Amino acid sequence: MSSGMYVDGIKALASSNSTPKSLARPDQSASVDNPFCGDRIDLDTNIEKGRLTALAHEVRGCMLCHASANGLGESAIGLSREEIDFVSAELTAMLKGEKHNVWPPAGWEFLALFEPVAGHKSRHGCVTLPFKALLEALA
Amino acid sequence: MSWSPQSLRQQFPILQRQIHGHALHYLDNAATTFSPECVQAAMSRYESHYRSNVQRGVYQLGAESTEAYEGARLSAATYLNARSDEEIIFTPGTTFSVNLVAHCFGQSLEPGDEILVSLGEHHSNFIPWQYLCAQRGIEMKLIPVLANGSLDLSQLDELITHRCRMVAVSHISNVTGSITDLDCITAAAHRQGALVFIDGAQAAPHGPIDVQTLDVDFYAFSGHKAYGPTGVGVLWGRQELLEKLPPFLTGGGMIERVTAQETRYMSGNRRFEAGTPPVAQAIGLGAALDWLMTLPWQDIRPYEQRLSRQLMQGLLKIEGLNLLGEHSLVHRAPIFSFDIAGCHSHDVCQILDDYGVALRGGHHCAQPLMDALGLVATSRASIAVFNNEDDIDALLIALNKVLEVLR
Repeated sequence: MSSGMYVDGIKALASSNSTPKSLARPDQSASVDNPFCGDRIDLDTNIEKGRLTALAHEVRGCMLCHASANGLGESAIGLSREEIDFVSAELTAMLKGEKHNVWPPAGWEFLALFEPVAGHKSRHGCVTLPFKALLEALA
Repeated sequence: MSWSPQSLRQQFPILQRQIHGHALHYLDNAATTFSPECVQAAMSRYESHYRSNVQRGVYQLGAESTEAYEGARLSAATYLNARSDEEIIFTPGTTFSVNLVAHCFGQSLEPGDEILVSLGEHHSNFIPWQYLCAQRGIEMKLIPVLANGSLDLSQLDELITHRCRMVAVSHISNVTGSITDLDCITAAAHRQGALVFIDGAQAAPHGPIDVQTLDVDFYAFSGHKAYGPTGVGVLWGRQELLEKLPPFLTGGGMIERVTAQETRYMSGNRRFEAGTPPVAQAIGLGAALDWLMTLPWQDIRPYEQRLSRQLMQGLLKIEGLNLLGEHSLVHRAPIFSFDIAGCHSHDVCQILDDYGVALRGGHHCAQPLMDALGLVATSRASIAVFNNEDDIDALLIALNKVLEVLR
């Protein structure tokens, strides 16, 4: 059942416009597709001293992907690639039902909204796609 | 054959399933449809009574399996109105069939030759030709689409030049449900000496095909969309063309003689069935085609149209819904793709599942078409012979629930 997947928190996050669609002078960019559904995210970043200083993205995807991307945009600024990789791994572990260290990670409380997605394997990629794109941009 | 929707439904035990406490309303038949009991019985009988390899064994079981396998080939030939069962090749499915023809026919092509494909094709009838063209320096031309996703054939004579060697199009679009004007395409192609390959994956489930009347050169379809099992499909080709094509896969079962120095291959269709074929699946597909040929299509087609009208009228009442394809039942198979403003198809289909309604959401393996239409994904409802008014009602009611959640 999808109950819990489309709660107000997810809907609000998906429709928030807090993250710009592109940066004027990105340091690194990535364009990543979810081959299963065709969702796509184009993402720009600015980095200073190994830490993310600005993030922009344009999502062509479902509500879960939009919500995940917007939450990421609001929470990832100031972090290093390693710190974002840690959060991404925690998110993936939660979705797969595997053991994770801290849930939700500090500063990433919005990720708890995605817990109902864990039971829907075909939708995991919708939530993780923005993280995959950001890690690719920061690689 | 006496027929009623209810009697037909009784042949599909899977329809008794409950999904999340609701009756199952399965409307993803364009992806994979269900198989009736007779298909399952035919496969079960093979497995429990005479399972053995085909073409080789002189013992009783081998003779029985060969007879059943070749019987399935004859069923396929009859279903397609082929001139001979020697024009039938069993493959793993339509994707394999397209790759087979693209690869084997492609051996004879040279830089400067052209292949014509449409922008509306399923990836299976797009990528093999795109790959062939990239590999051999051949130009791939594209039939454009209209704003509703149907093929725009207005420039066909300009697109098919004397350098065109093959035109590859689908009989029915897996996205829009549009029935392609094959008369127009085959006439234009043959005028220039080009061959015509038809992806019939969406057409074969809707009644017997007549490849001779269609005047095409190759025709492919898959078992799992035609009430048969997965893992098997049919490729039909004109015998004189099959005789000229080089082999695709090589190995056992397709040779006349092998020496240490060289191999002489069998001719015709047998050349393309290397290795042990999908025997049980082919027998199941034969049973499915036999079953399809017993159905009273003169009654079923109006029934499918009635369901289609009910669905189309209901969909068009939904605010912000964009229905692809022509808003008419003429030249349209019962396949309906739609986009609802502000609602992504995966979210739509996810919530529909809560009500036991199974629809496909996504790009439907037709990304060039989606790009041409400026879409990312659509929701698709596709009707089979066992669907009824309750299925359509359930979808339309559930769609309103979806909008309450997502909007």
